[in-house]
Amino acid sequence: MDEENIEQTEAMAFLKPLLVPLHEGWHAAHGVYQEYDPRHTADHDDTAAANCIRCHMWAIVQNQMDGRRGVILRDLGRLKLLNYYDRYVLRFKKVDGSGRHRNARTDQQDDFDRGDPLPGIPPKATRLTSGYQPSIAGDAIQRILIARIAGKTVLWLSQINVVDAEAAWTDITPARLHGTSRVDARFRKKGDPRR
Amino acid sequence: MIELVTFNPEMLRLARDVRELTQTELSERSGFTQALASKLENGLIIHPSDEVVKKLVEVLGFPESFFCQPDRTEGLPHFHYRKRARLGSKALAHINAIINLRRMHITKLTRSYEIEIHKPIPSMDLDETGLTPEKVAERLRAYWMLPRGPIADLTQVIEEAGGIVVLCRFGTNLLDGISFRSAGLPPIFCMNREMPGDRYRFSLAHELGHMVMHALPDDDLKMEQEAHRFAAAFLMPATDIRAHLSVPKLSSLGRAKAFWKVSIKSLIKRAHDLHMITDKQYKNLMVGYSKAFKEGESYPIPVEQPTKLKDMVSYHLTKLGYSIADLARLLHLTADETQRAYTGLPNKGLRLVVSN
Repeated sequence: MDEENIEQTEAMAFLKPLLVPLHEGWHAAHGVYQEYDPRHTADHDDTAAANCIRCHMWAIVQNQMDGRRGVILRDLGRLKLLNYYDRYVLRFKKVDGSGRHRNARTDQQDDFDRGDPLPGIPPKATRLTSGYQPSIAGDAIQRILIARIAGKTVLWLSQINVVDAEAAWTDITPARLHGTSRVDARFRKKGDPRR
Repeated sequence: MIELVTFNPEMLRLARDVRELTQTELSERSGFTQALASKLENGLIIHPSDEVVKKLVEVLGFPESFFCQPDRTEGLPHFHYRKRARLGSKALAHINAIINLRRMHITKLTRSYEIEIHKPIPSMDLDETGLTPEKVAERLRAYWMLPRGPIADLTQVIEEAGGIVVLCRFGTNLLDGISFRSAGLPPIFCMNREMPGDRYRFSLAHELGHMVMHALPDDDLKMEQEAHRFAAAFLMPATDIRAHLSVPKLSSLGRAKAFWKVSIKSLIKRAHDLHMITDKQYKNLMVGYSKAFKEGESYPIPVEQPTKLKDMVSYHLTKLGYSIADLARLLHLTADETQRAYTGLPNKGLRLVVSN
């Protein structure tokens, strides 16, 4: 088991109490968007749709998870974060099947990915992405994911499945050639968040 | 002795085609020879025995009166929807029989039912007017004073213009619909009910195109292409749809589908026809489409429900005081089948071959 696998297993075990609420939250947020009047959604591009769903998700997180033991919510403008026991910090994004998000990058997002200081966020906390992968037509959620992203590299990727109100996760990290690191060299030079 | 004034051989053939039986199957089930069935259908025996008639009633599920009504059957209209080439002759005969049966019912129901139309379905011959199918679609929208954007309920629009839309079980997905004008009747649109709502709308618009533009027969392929162009322009006017085709992605087109109530595939085609995407983009989208929607498209659109025929039946039952038995006698159906086909009430008995 390599370093990333250990970290992934630890993280997913620690985050277990959040997995069902996150899974349900994304589905609920997506469901709200699907109830929009089609005359309005027809005007939306993918970014607009993702923004709407993310806003609903953030509202659901605020309503249902704020005040939970270990949960601290931080709203840094465009970056909405959930701090869990100062060990993990999650942001909320639409992602693709490999766990990556495709929005235009901002300094704030780069800082988050690099593990650079952000106001109110413990520097040692591991930065994660709670994401959903929409179906190709955008009318359904294909997968709910937790991703550990460093720069443009996906260190590990977990798919959350909920059956009978019990959450389980599956490692779906994109395969890499044997012997190659999951973090590209360029990114390590700039600042590996695991240093 | 059962009094059959004149046995109508065409009605026997019609009944057999409605039930999808060959002459051999009919004779086997009835217990008489195929030779007899053939002679009956060809009018060589015009006074069949009581026993033969009783067997026909039993096997074919139509009352005795059905076989001696003086109606004539009609052939399929000269235009028809795509895929007909792949239809077998038996399936086509079945569809033709269903359509004839519907036409005969509508003829009887319209005798006592006044239809007031302010703006009927017009005729605009392309050769005479010099218009393109797109221009015809634009003018028809203007004539009917349809608002900009999607047509909320195309079936309602057509029925308000005097058309009668009938949902039929063709028993195949190889034919989406057939429309025709018959003497003394409003335009009739027989649509296959077993298709997605977005396809139903496009097919209905296609049939409307035939009704408006093709009063006279022409080259089959040419008429089909013109009806397609009409349907695309009628449901997705270029000036209104452009904004929703600007992002050539399946996700954006999915959202546009929910608004325009047309298939994602027809949106891709429309974007290409309007030169909003390149040939390469079109090809890539169609490849992506084929992979993504093997099991059918996302954003299902409900099939629109016609009301005119139901209104006509309701008028007979309520205003004219018909009982189900009276209605059955009028239509030459059994009471069970009348109920199943026209009142929507659950029923037991023969399988449903005609239904609303």
